[in-house]
Amino acid sequence: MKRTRRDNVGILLFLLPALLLFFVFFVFPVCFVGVMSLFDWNGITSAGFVGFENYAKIFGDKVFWSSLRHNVIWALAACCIQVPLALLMALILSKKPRFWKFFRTVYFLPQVISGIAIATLWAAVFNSEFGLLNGILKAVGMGDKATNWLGNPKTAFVCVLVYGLFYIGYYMVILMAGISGIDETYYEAARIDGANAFQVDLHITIPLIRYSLATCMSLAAVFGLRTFEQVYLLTNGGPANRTSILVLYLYKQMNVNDYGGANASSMMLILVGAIVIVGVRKIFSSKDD
Amino acid sequence: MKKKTVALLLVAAMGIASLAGCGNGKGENADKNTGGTEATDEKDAEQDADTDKDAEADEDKDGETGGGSGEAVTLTYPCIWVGADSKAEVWAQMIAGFNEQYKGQYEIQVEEQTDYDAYRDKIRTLVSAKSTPDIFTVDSPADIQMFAEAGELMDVTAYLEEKLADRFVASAIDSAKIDGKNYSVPYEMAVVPMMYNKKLLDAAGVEAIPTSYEELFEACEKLKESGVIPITQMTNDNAWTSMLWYSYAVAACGGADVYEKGLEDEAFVKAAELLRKMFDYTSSDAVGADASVVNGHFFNERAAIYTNGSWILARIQSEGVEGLYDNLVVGPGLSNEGANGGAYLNSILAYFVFKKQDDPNKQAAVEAFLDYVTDPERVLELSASSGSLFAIDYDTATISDPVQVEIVKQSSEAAFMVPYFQSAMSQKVVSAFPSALESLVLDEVDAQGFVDMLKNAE
Repeated sequence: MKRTRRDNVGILLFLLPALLLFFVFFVFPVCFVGVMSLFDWNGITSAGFVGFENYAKIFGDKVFWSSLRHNVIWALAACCIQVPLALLMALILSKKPRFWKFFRTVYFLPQVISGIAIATLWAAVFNSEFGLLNGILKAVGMGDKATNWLGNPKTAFVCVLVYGLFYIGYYMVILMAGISGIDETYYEAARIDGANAFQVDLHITIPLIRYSLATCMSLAAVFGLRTFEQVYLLTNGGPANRTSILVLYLYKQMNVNDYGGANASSMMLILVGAIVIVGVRKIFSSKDD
Repeated sequence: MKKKTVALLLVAAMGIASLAGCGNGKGENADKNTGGTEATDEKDAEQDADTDKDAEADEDKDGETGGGSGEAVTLTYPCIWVGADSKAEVWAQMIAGFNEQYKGQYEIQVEEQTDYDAYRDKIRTLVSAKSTPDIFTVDSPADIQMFAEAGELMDVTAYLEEKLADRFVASAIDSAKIDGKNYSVPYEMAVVPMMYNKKLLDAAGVEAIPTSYEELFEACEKLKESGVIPITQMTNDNAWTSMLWYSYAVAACGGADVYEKGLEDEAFVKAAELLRKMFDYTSSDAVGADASVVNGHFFNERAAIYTNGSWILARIQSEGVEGLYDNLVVGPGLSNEGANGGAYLNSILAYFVFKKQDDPNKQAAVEAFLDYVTDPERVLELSASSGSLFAIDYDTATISDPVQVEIVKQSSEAAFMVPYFQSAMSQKVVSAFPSALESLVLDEVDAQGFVDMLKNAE
């Protein structure tokens, strides 16, 4: 059926509100950040054009590079540990064993609890004076291993990173939704062919939920890159910037009114995020897409 | 066709609804906040006569009451003295008292903010967006200069000099001037003593309060042997109490004019060595600890030596373990190698700042607010209830709290006064201090390296 001019106007009008919001709240801010990254600006008084000086400054700062490295590790850990864990649980719970609804709720529960509450809880676990972890170590005769987990450069980043990886509920629910959409006839055919549960998961379920997996991977990578509250609340980037990440780095730039530098860091964050998302989509796209 | 028309109407309706959702929060807030004016202040009953006079004067000046339209002039005030702050209760009463006194004429709308960092961010964002609140407080002269350069601040020089000059302690107003003008009003003062838990010192066999760093480290050894944490330290956030310890060490190494030469002064390196040594006598969670951890150790008698501003006294009384306050002993700065003992840290902690106003009624409201909150009797009540000290010349002889009295006495007799590091350095250096300190404590850099890190931040 041929689309008339009037149809096009209708489509445009329906798209207009979303487009308008997209331009006002995304395109314009990104362009603004990009332009202002070329200025020396304290956010209050007038800005002065400095070209790529802000970029040169952050590229010469080793804290920027360590922050970027931490972000990449974070994103990789989320993709390689958190999402596979979520997939494993989704595969198990989709088979609807006893109490599967209970476990689904339990795994999802941390998603509805404030990040501040969770971080406070873990700060108490890792505290060196009266924390649970050191208490357990002392109780089992390993008191010599007790340390200031969040203040020790060797353990701080691992502690901050690891606890978040166990919160898999969000991805698990996405993957379970994907699994529930698979036609039952595929499984019947596989069973007739004598496939066991592992083979069914490997050759039927996982390939058929690859778009859900791609979504989870993209989200995990993006969340890994933009992570902030976990680090801010537990270590504030310390000790000696050992747990610093990019968003915290630019937040600290803003704290000293270096908005030009913060904008340059933001542009780098956007660039890295774009590369990661394109990469993830490439990996999960197939030839027939 | 009908369907399309309906669809178009729906799109239009959605657009209008989304825009409507963005607006008109002001009216709702105004209604909500009006409830706050119902509270009364006992003192105001006694001062009604003065109030009437003030109100008449304002009416004469403006030719009309308030905004001229019969509605009260409202002033927005994001306030940090709320929640657990020791001034919160009496300050809330003062604001309620002001609103009651000027009912129908002026009204302060308080927006509560409990976190200092978030408060700073909020103020900077609001000023940047040209949505400067009518009243707010700032702790950094650098921020005041920046806001003034942006043309956002009210010049209160004339009003201060003509009406309120005699209410302030000597040179307070002059020291707050930028290019000869007051864009800020100095209010709360940070007077910072060293604090000791005498009970824990006695139990450890420390007979006298240390007067030098040599004595301090001897006392620390004894305290450590007795099983308590000798000194509280922290490195998280702005490393506040460790910054104060460093400030005292800087004063002991460099004397009264130590900040004149900036970070080039050798005193900053020597002080870093002292600070590093102090970390050998602190809690195992000091690296990464924030103020709540430090306070927790001292308030619960796990630690014996602590430093903070006098405003913490009320919290020690209310949150400390039973008997802690009775065992609290305060002292001035220590000497180093026999020199520069007896110093006291003293800086302006909070300046009142006001948005530049075009509306003379709002300007009058701000002046009425200033007049109200700098009233020496009210400030005395605020000071006595919280332990805080102020740049207002009130009668400290009437303060009854023995620890606060001792702080006032010691600071007035101090060998010299010196600002603390955070108030004497640029924002960039202050911001670099916590991570540089962590590098020092973790032995990644030596004392010279620590100072170099601060210099590089500048």
